[in-house]
Order: sequence, then C-alpha cells, then structure tokens
Amino acid sequence: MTSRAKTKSHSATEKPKSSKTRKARIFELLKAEHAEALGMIEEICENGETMEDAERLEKFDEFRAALMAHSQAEARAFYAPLKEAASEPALVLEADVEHIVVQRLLEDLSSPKLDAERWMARATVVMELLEHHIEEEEGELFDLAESECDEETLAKMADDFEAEKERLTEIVA
Amino acid sequence: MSFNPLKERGVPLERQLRNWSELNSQPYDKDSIDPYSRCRVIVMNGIEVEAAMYSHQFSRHSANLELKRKLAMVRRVEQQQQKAVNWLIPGDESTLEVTIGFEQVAVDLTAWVAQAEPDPVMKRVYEFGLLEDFDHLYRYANLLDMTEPKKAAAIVGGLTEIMPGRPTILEHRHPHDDLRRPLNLYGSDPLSSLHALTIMCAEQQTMNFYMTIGNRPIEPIARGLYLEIGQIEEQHVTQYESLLDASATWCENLVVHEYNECYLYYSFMQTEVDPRLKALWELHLGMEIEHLRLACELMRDMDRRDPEAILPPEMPEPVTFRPNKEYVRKVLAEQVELTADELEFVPLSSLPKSHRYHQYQQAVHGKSSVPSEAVITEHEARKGGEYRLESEGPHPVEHLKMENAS
Repeated sequence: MTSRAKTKSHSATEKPKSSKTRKARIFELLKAEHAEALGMIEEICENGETMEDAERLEKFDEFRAALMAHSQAEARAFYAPLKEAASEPALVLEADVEHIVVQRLLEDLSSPKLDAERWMARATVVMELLEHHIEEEEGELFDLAESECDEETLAKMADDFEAEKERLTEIVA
Repeated sequence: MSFNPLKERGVPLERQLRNWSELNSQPYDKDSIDPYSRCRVIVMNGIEVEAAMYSHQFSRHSANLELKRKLAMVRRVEQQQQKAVNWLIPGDESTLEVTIGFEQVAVDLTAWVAQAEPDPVMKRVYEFGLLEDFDHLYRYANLLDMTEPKKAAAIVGGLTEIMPGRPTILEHRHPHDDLRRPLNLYGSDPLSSLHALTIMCAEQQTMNFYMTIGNRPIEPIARGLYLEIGQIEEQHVTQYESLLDASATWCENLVVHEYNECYLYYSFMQTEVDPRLKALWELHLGMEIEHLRLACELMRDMDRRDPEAILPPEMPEPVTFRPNKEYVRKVLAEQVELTADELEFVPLSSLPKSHRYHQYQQAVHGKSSVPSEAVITEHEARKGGEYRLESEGPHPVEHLKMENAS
C-alpha cells in the first residue's frame, strides 16, 4: 500500500478542523468522537500492511462498530433536528450522502473476499472521505447549527446523541 | 393538491371495530375481476399480516403494560382489516389460481418499485429479485395448465407476460449471498424505506402462503414445486429485510409501517377500478390515518423524536399496477445471467467452481429431480410443449427462446 495513506494521514491530534471556539456540548461530543474514529482508521491505514490479517480485521471491526454507532446516532440526534431547523438543509443532505458512501465502503471492507491490497485501498478511501466529511461538518455544519438552533435545541441534541449512542453501540457491535 | 396523512383526520379508533357480517366481505367474481384488483387484494393482505405480526413482536419485546394495551387495540383493528381484505378472495378460486395472482403481484409490484426507486443500488436489488419471481410465474403457469387444467392468461389478463426468467433451478444460493446493503432511515430518501418494506411484506406473505398451502395438492409435482419456490421466497425475504435499517427503534419502525399502510391504501384508492374495492381502500385509509397518528404519538413519547424526520413531506406518487412488459424484457436481456456473491451481483459464469454457490446447489439439488425443471418437462411430455404467454414477441434472451410451446 499506499504511500498515499501515509503522506495524507494526520494524527488524531492534528485534524484539519475549524479553530472556532464553540460553547454547546454537542460540538465537543461530536469532535471527540470524530478524532477517535479518525485515529482508528489512520492506525489501520498506516500499519495495516504489516499487520496479520486477523489483527487488521479485528481493528477494523472495532472501527466499524464505533463509526456506525456514531454516524447513526449523529444522523438522528444532530442531522435530523438540524434539517428541521435550517432554512437551507442542503449541507445536511450532503452529509447524509457522505454517511451512506462511507457505510457502503465499510460493507465492502467486511467482505472476506477482498485481497489485502484492495482492502487497504478501500480503507484509505474511507480515511480520506472521513477527513473530508469531518472537516466540512466541524466547519460549515457546526456553523449552521450555531446560527440556526437555539441553546435548548443544541442541549437536547447532546442528550439525544448520548442516549442514541448508547443504544446503537449495542446494536452494531 | 398534495396529500399528507399527518395532516388529515382519520376515523377515531373507538369507531373502527366492525361486526362479523361487515368483515365477511362478498368475495370478488374470479372470472370478471380486473387482474390488478386481485393483485391489490393480495398486496394489502400481505401488508396487514405484517402489521399484525410486527405489532405482536413489538409487544413481545416490551414490558410496558400501557404500551401493550395501545398496541393490542390497534392490532385488533389491523387484524379485522386483514380479514376484510383476505376474505375478498373467493372459495372457488383454487390455491393455484391464487398463486398465479401472487406471482403477478411479485412481477408487476417489484417492477413498479424498481422503476420508482430513487437509490440506484436498491433499484438493482429489485431488478435482481424481479427476474426470479418472473420465472416462478412461468413455472406455476405450466403447473396450472397441466393439473387443473387452466391457462394462466385468463388470470393475468394478458397484462403480464409468462415466459422463463432467471431459471428457478439457478436461483438457489448460499444464505450469505442473500444479504444486501441496508438503507439509512435518517439519510436515505424516505421513499426507499417504504419500497423496501412493501416488497418485504409482499414476499413474506408469499412465503407464508406457500408454507401453508404448498402441501395441499395431491400431485407430487405440485407439492415439489411449492416447496422449491417456497425456499426461494425465504431467500427473497432474507434479501429484502436486509435492506431495512436495523438500527431503527421499534417506534420508528411502527411509524414507517403505519405510514406505508396509508401510502398503499391511498395509492390503491387512486387507481382502483372496482367501486366496491375502492370504497374499502378508502375506509381503511381513514383507519390507517388514525393508526399513524397514534404511532407518531408513541414515537414522540417514547423516543422523544420527531416522526416527520423519517417520513416523506407529502405522499409520494401512488404505487400503480400497470403492465411492465417492455421493462421486464429489458431487465431480462441485461441481467438474467446474474447471481449474487456477498453483497454484489455478478455473472454466474464468473464464480469459481469452488464457490459456495456450487456447494449449495449440490446440497439442495443432489442427484434428485428438480421440481421447477420437472414441471416443464412433464408439461412438454403431456401437452407436447411448454406453456408461455409471449405477447410482445420471442423471448429476449437467445437461449431461453421457446422451442415447443403449446
């Protein structure tokens, strides 16, 4: 693989994110999980080539479960009310599509039929999509939420996100 | 003007119960019923069976007595709706004649859904299943012509062609290859959820029907055909249920079920040609609007979530039964050679000999006679050819063209 993954990757602590200070808890929750997910896939992309298949797949399973629970909870607790509140929901719809694309690649990566090289190529694409998605979400989408949602809505988003995350973690495990 | 069931007033629940004579519907006349009216009856029966079974499962997974009461009340009415619909099927219509109706549903409903589906990945799934059900219609039509004997053309009314699809013998594949990519309740177009649920219900009821009546015939060939195709319906249910979003809550799923019932009754009310059936679809739509309101109330109370987020902003274009002959021929010509490998559709010829597909085929066919093939061979032997209804010309696939049709 894929020097591309190595050159393009970022460590979990130096993500290309908005530097704006935001007050609402929902933003902190989402950012923390974004960093965690990105860190997991970066590790797979950077070291996957030298891992045994079983270890790579075990790490991928952990990543897949964490990302699926996150994205499903995010769609329910953050995107859905944001779509409702936003006068122009196009950005949220775009984020929905990115979730679907990543989900489909995760399904590909669950296939035992992919050889290691093609598997790593897909994993790299997942990482790159995720970087792009997170950058847009933590920038434009968070801006949209801040401008279109009141404090109460943002607080409810955080509570809902935590509750959904707990429920979905059991389902997708 | 657009129709939104969330903004309509339905029939209050306490006024929805009907007495025995109201439920014991006058059956349709099997010789004069519009074939697509029969199809609508078969679909709505399947939808109501699913409504009852889903509600039972929900109740069995909850310890909340108040919730169980609410579910039981609505479910009693859904069960009455199922009886009112299913009792329209006349006693003098044989199970095999009804079977032709089930398969006409599978062809023309799936064809409609495939063409209306906004997600191209899901559209491919419907097209894949369509060719298999299309073949079942052909096999059963040969059985009907041989055993009753009756021409299936009289049942499908010339609206649906009858000829081989993806041969049933080749449809049997390993269970792991029946699973597909799921949709996202909160990210996909809401119409995709409605489509997946509708087709799953239709296939589920077809499976239930064959499981129940498949042992009623005396002729071994008929018993064999029902059990073989019954196993494919199991594959189809596995396929279509895997499209649904498994992360949905019980309440979210209930809302989608109730909305879908509104959507289908509304659709059929728009397109029904039989005034008596049209009145029934309208009555049931009024009931379902109330069921939907109650389901939305439950979702708001229990999930603390807004049902509008998972529903279309207004009723989508009505689901319509209409001939799909050209479309089916096009899909046949392009996709008849496909099978499934994991989540993908691939040419059967691309699978290596060691693929689990071949092991599964060997396990279920062995060295025995395969009923779906035997029914054609036997028809040819008894009648000097196979039975087809090819109104638009020869079969579009060269090796499936007719040689000796009767």
